[in-house]
Order: sequence, then C-alpha cells, then structure tokens
Amino acid sequence: MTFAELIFANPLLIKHVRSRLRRQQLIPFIVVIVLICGCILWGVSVTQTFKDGAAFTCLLFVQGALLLLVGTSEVASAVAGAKHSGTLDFHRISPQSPVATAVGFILGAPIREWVLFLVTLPFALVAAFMGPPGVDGLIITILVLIPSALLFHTLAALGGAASARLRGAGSWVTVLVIILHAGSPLQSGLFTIIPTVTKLMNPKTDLPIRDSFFGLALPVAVLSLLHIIPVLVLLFLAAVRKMKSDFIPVYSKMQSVAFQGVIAGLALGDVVGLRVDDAPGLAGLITIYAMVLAAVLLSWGVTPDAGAFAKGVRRARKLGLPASPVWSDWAANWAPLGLFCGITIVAGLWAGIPDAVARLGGLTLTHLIAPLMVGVATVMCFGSAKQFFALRYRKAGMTYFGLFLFIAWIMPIIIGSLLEISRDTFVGKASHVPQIINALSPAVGIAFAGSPDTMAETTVSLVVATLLALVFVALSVRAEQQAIADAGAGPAKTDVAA
Amino acid sequence: MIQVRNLRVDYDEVCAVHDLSLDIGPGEIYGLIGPNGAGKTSTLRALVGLVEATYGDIVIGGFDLDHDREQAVGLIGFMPDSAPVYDDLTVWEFLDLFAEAYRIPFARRGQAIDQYLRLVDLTEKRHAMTGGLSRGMKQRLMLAKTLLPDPQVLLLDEPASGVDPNGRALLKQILRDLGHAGKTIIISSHILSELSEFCTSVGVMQKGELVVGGTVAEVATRVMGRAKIILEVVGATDGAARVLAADARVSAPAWQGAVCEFAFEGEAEQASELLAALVTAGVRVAAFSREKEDLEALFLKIGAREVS
Repeated sequence: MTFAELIFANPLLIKHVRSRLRRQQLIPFIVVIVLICGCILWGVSVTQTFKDGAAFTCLLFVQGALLLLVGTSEVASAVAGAKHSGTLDFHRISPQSPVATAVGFILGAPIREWVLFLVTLPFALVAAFMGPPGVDGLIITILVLIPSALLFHTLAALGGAASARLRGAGSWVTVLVIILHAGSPLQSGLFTIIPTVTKLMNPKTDLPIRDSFFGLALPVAVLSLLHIIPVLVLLFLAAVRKMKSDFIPVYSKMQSVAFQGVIAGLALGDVVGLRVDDAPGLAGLITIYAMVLAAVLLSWGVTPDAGAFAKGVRRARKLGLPASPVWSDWAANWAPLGLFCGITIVAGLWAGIPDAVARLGGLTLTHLIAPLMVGVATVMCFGSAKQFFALRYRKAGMTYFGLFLFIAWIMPIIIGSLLEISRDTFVGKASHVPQIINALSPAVGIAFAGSPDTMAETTVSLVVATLLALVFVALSVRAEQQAIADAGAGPAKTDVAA
Repeated sequence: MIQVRNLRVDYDEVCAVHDLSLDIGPGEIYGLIGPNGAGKTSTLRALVGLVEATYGDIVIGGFDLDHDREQAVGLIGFMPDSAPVYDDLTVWEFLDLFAEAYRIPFARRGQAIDQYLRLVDLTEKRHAMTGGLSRGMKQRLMLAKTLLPDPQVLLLDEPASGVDPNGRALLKQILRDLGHAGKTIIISSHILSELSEFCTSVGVMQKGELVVGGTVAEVATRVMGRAKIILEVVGATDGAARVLAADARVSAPAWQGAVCEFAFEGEAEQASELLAALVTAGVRVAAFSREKEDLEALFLKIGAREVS
C-alpha cells in the first residue's frame, strides 16, 4: 500500500470523513469557531493588545483545545468503541493492514477537529501578522503543533486499544495532555507547543529547559521535533500492534528495548554538557531517573501474566522446546529487563562521567556509581517483582504488587516527610532519621545516593534496593519454575462463556 | 476446505478449546452444537485468527493460518454473535466501508452492495442510520457485510439470534442457497431445529472438546441412542409383534392398541427393510414413521450434560 493509498483510499479514514463531517453537524461547529475567533480578534483590536500577542495566544489556546483535548478524546473513544463493540475485529480480519487501521483512527477520528483547526488559521494569520510571533512564527508553531497533536492522538489510539473498559477509555491521555501543557516540567515540556511558543513570543525568555542537544545549540522548535518524532514513531508502532491483535502486548520485547534506547538517546542529548555548580552530578542523576522511569513503564508492558506465560510453555512443549524463546511475547521478562539495566548503566555513565571527572576532588565516581546501582537495582526489583506476583498470585498478583509498591516506594516517603515536619517532637534537629527513612524508597534513594554528604542515606538506599532486587529475582525464578511445572500439568478448568 | 488439528485455545488460566480436530469439506454445512461455554465461539474466533491459538494447525482452503494468514483469512467471512455496527454510518456507507476494506473494485462496488442489500431485504433501509436498525435488521446487515467479499468459507456464530421469524426464514433460504453454491459453512446456533434441515454434518462440543461429530443421523444416533419408530397396524397385532420380536435391531416395543412404539438401531435403509418384512409377513401397515433426528432434542440433551 502506497502512502497515497494509506491516506486517500483508507476505508476507516473515509468512514470518519463521512460520519464526522456531515453538513448538519459540521456547519454549526464552524459557525461557533468562526464566532469565537472573530470575537477574539475584535476584543484584542478594541483593547489594542495585538502587539502583546494576546490574539495569537488566545487563538492558539482554541486550536490547542480543539486538537489536543477534543481530538485526543475523540481518538480514544473511537478506538475503544470499535474495540469493545467488535467492529475493530472486522478490520483485523479484512485485507486492510493494521497500519491502515491505525492511520484511519489516528487521522480520521479527530477529522472534524482538524477541519475546525483549519478554520481558525486565517484568524491566526491575521493575529500573527498584527503582532508577535509574526507569520514565520505562526508557521513554526504549526510545524510543531501538528506533530505534537499527532503524538497525543497516537497515544490516545493506543490507550483506547488497550483499554479494559469502554467508559473513560484514554482519559488518562487527556489528563497527561493537561499536565504537560499546564506544567511543562523540564524537558518533557518539549513534547508540547509551550516552549516553542514561549520562545517565539519573547526570545529573551529563560526557559526551564536546555536548548541544546548533545551540546549543539538548537532552536527550541527543532529541539521539540527531535523529541516528538522518535517517540511518535515508537508509539505508532505500538498502536499498530494493538490494531493487529488484542492478545499481544503493546510492544514486543525487542521493541521495548529499542524504546529504552531511544529514551536514553533523548536523555543523553538533553544532559550532555550540563554542569550546575550547586548540583554536582545532576546530569547523571537526571539520566538515571529518566532511564529508571522508562524501564519501569516498559517492563510493565513486557511482563507476561500467568495465562500468557503458561500458553507460551504449552506452545513451546508442543514444538519440542523446554520453554518459550526468551524474546517471545509469552516468555518471562528477563531478557528485556537485563537490557534495560544495561542501557541504564551505559546512559548513566555516559552522562555522569564527564561531570564527575571535571569535579575530581569535589565529587567522586562513587557518587555516580552509587545512584546508578540503586537505579539498576530498582529496575531489576520492579521487573522481577511484577513477574513474581503475576506468576505466583495470578489475577490477585496485581493487587499484591500494588501493595508492595505502596509499602516499599511510597510509605517511606510519607513517613520520612512526617518525621521531617515533626522533627522537634520525634527525632531532633540534627537527626538523619527522616532522610534515612526517605532513602528506603528508590524514588528518593537515587538522589540521596548521588549526594556527596549523605553517607548513611546512600548506604541504606543501596542496601535496601539491592536486597529487594536479589529477593525478587530469586522469588521470580522459583515462581517461573513452578509455573512451568503447572503448565505441564494440563488444563484445569474448561468452562468459559462462549 | 477446513482442516483443524489439535487446536488448543487458552484464556488466562482457562482452557477454552482442547485438542480439537476437524475436517470439513467444500460445500459442507457444519453445525457446531454445544451449551454455553462449550468453546464454540472460541473455535470460530481461532479459525478466523481473532484468537491466537496456544497451539494447533489450522488450514483454510490449503492456506496455513500461521504462515499464509492473509490468504487464509481472505477466504473467510465471519459473522459474530453480536451485530457490531458503526452507529454513525448509514446502511449503504457501512457496506461501502467494508467493500473498500476488502478491495472490491470501485466500479463493481455499488452493484455488489445493492445486490446484497436485496438479498437480506434491506434495500429500503439503505439510507437509514445503522444505529437506528432493530437487532434483527443489524443481524441481516451483518450477513450482507459477511457475504460482500464473496468468501468461500463462512463462519456464522449464532446468526439467527435476535432475528424475527421472517428473518429466520430468509436466513434459512440464504444459507441453503449458499450451500448449494458450494460455500463451506460452519454455523453455531441454538435454534437448531430450523437449521437441521440443511446441516450436512454436526459437531458437538462440550467443555472445550469435540465429543462427537459426523452426519446429523450419526450424531443423533450416538447421542440420542436408538431411533424411535411408530408403527400402526390394521387388524390383529400378533403378526407384527412376531416380526418385531424376530428382528434383533428392535428393542422395547410398547403396544397401545394398534400402535406400537419401539427403539430401532439402524439408519433409514434398515428401517425400510423392516417395513418390507412387515408387509411380506402380511401385516397391514397403516402408518410407519421413523422419528426424525431432532437437533433441538440433541442440543437439549447436551445442554443437560448427558453426553457420555
């Protein structure tokens, strides 16, 4: 299928054009948008605030609301609706490719919002012409806004396809859109239009993000696209997989490792050359946190549940193999987990060593190695614990896993913070106890382990993280052996609703 | 046309289909019978590739579902038990969507859609929104969508559910015509009494396994036991009683006046031999009826889990 066929002969895209662009529905929406945009221009003209960029900002808000909020929600509900009604199955068994299905939903479901976006463009052109950011600024904004919208639409398609329930499917994507646009914390803001527009409106603004990639100074818009496009491609691959089948994980194990590699590339690109006098080792710490967070999310996706694991064992036995091949979707998560750890180590060292070397005497390699070890142990602990709970406790496993995370990762922060604010009553002003308790959680422990003045906290964090990792690796190995033995015992129950 | 070997389907910790093997030839209409949870839907969904089998080989029209998935699935038309439609499309647009998905040439598309709309008696509803159709109409629309790419194999999961009596008659006629046209059909249904007339063979599923399969008569004999024959004679009954007593295939004759009901082990041909023997012995036969294999009764028996 050619690119042109993918777009112009895409049955699902045509379906959405028909259903979402019916004249009787579209015209009222166009009238509303024209009136809103007209009012914005009129209001700005009356208050003479064109030069402040007020009109452009307001129109951008309307465009963002259309594409990022309404459009995202439309994609999620269209995909979830097709999945839960069963119409998605019809596409799966038709000659239509999963790529065409994914494109059909991602471009088609928000087609009305794209048309309304086009309606706002002449108004945005007037606003851009009359004040900042100028016509070239408008073009740059659109060049970032479109991939950014596609990124969230793709994420919504993935959310809809993976949703267990129809109601509220993909609403987390909308929440993510709001959080990223409202807060834009650090580099994650680059997935939005906010840094680009802020810089265009006022080039002298100091953004809370670095405007260089691997040390090369780049315009913020380019930096945004550098972050958006690879992640968009990886999310699209995941969406295509879910369009193909409901019964496979979002990523294959290989793809998840590739995703971790891309995150490592982005994280390194962002931190290379970062040196903050007051925060030694910051580059390494940021990278470690980014890698651990990505590894945790990805290992969630590639860990098979007990049913899938048993299925893999049975299939392997039928083929004369002792167990599923390590890269199979149905195999335990050891292979990707090992590579996540490897990529985390490489990225952490790459980011941290130059800073540590430059500060010899003030910061030693130990302060890079320690948080790295905590980070790797955390990844190993999370992945093996998830695998253990899934295999050992089956459906109840997720509840127990959640309980474990709450106790091991959240409770220390709560107790440590409570002790910190009631220091006078319980532990005394100079005591390290609140920090030590905080350090029990890897969420804080990684940072403590990287600090030069926190020997006790570093030790506690390192010991606890390593111990938990070792315990869960051992438990997971045993649970895996037991699951293999159980799978060989043959079917237990055979009654399912047809 | 359809070969299945050692198919197993698992959902989480539940085995839905266990080591199922099937051989269905071209032009056969195969009824899949079984109580709820027997694994009928899972079998059909595995055949069309919507459920990934744990293991097993599925070959459709010579194409292996694992290795030549596109060709194998290209031969199949699948109609699920629910009737999922895009509520925001008209009937015509819905069919056009799938005509496009199945790459029916644009020049032939309109004609094909009109033809199948006529077939399922929905021509008048061509501009109606699918969301406004009754369940029976949606089911018919689903059948039109299934037939649109002219598949060689039809997998129909409860096609008559929610369809009114007229719709059922229409469905029966369409299926009969498709059978005559050489299509291979697997149909799972609870309304078996209406379908038994044209199912050439049946398979009985229970707890994920195919417990019995074959022609309707074979399966009925195996599941229901011996066929029942009702004999009515004119005049004395002792001559008839002697003939019946002499035939080893006859058991448990029960006389009520001139009418005798007995179990008979044998097919239609053997029954005709018995009738000939009665007439030769001078018995004046007023009525001789062999109770037809009733899939509905068969189904009820399976539903009651009486199949050994």
